[in-house]
Amino acid sequence: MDGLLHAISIMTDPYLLFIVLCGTVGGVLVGALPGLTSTMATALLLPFTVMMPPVPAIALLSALYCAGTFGGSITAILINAPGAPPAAATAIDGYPMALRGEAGRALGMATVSSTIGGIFSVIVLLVAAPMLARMAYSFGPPEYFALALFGLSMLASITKGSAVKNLIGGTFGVLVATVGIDFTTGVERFTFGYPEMTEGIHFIPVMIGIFGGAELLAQAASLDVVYHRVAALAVKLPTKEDFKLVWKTIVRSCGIGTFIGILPAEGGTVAAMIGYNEARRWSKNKDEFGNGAIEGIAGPEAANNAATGGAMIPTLALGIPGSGTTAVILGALLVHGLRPGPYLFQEQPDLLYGIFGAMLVANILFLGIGLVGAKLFARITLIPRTFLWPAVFVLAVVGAYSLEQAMVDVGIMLVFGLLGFVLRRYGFAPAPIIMGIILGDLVENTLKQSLLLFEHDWTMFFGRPIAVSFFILTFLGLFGPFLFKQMKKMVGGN
Amino acid sequence: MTDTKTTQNGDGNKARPDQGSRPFSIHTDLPMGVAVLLFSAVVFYLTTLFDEVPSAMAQGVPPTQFPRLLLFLISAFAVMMMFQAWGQEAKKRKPLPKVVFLSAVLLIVFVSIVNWVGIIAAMMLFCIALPILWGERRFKIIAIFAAIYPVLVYFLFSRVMEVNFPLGFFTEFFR
Repeated sequence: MDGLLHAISIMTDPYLLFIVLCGTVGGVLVGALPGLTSTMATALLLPFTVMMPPVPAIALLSALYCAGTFGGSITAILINAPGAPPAAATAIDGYPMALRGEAGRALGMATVSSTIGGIFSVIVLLVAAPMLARMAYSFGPPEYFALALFGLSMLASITKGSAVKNLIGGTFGVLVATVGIDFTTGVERFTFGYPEMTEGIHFIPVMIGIFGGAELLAQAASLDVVYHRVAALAVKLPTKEDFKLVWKTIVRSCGIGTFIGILPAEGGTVAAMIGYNEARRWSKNKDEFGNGAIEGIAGPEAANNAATGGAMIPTLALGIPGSGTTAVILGALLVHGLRPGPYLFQEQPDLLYGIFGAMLVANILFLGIGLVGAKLFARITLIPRTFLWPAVFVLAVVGAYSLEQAMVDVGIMLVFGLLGFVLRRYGFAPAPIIMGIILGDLVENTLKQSLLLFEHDWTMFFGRPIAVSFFILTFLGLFGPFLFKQMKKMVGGN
Repeated sequence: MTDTKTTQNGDGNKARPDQGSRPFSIHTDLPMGVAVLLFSAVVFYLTTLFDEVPSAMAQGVPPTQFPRLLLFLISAFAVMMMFQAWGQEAKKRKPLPKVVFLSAVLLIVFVSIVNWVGIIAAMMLFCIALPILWGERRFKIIAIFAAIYPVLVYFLFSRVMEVNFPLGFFTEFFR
């Protein structure tokens, strides 16, 4: 309760409130635009926030994250094109409802269930993050190494791309993080004689390129796609009957979303898919799913917004991103010289309560924005792509340059933009690469520190119970689905 | 209205699904796996070019060890990917339209000319060229967009965030 009051008291600052309002409005707009995701928007916005003090900077990104996740539902319902991947499941039932003239009801349900999911997860974040951080006090380099490894192993189970491709992407990201001077020996690695590369490849140009540049080329490939919009009437608050029908679904999805969000590397998209499937599984009206079931909107929307708070828990408490966007937020914390973990909770309580407060306020704000302005926000899809994407790429170039004021960063952004497009075309998702780059230093440094601690005896890892627990989870993360399938086959065979 | 997304081919007709039978084609993950293995081999070779570790630092983990461990993992995953794709038929992939390659070239040109013509002129040229390349023919709007947007972005970053951009020919003009 004290934490909640502290978060609210920080949010009484008018400047911070204004920043959060900007983040929320920006997030809903970005979320509503097909192709522009909250991950890309936070990556593009990151260079702007470098000049800001840490609390408003991270509050802005956090608000954008929450609102962007919701914003995707507007276009999912009205044009059957989810503005952001977490809203993909919402389109399954949202668009059929819009077609039969119930767009307002569908948008109202999406807004309310998103808000409930988001607020629930912020409360869990407020309680769980400090607890998890306190646990992390007992972590040494071996535990952090095992934890980072577990985080990377979870890439195998994210929905986009095949498991093995996600693992290749993640490992490639860790490899990219090795560029620069090796901190223990002072030897240059993969710098090709460029002095600018001795400090390594900064993840911000990589993120901007892989999300922004690659998406521009993806948009070029789909210029012939024409979206047909369903006219949105006034957004309607869910009725008592609607609530009776969906309250169990919302409660279930809040739990699912928060739990999935906490798992490293998983995010709103996985949470929404599971939320949708569970809503269908427990529903009495299974046949309506796919044809405009109201529970089919409440399930994924509550889950994907609940995942936002959940994903922030490992990000802030352990420094392991819970999703693609939280990887960018983690990057922003690092740019501001802040290393997430238990000491952050001790040394920067205002920052953390600022984040909690910003997320809470963003969830309340987008309830108002969604109910009053969804119709207006839907019009953003009318911006022609022929102007939108040049504008985005110009921002990408300027953003990549402004960080170190070096053209080499713009070159890196471009290379990763082109590479990202090629990799996406062949089924490699961009998020694992970013996760790998963010976690790369942590993996290598903690491995080296552990080996020095153990005098190069690998077996001593197994004398550390927490590390062993993470190794077991890593093993299950990698081979669990395969073992589960084999077990199911055996049981089925018998 | 049953579907929101329609695609049109070059001559304006609706794209038709392939009706005839297709010959068996190699799954793209196989050549992709080979490319990943080649990449790993090249990067492994690069690790052999690292400088010698100074003797005072030699007791730690060699700088080559971790990248090589990663390359081994990448190679192993690539083999797994190829194994999974073996014998599977390739998914039919829509060929990339020419505009994608031209857009990529435009991005490269944009970044390459920044130092030469300066950031503002480069942004303006890009804001003219890409919309035209993508089929935009409302030239008045393109002109307004290309004249206003880059200047706004430039002033936002240079005045508010105090970023010093390369100005190329116009360095003296802006000084």
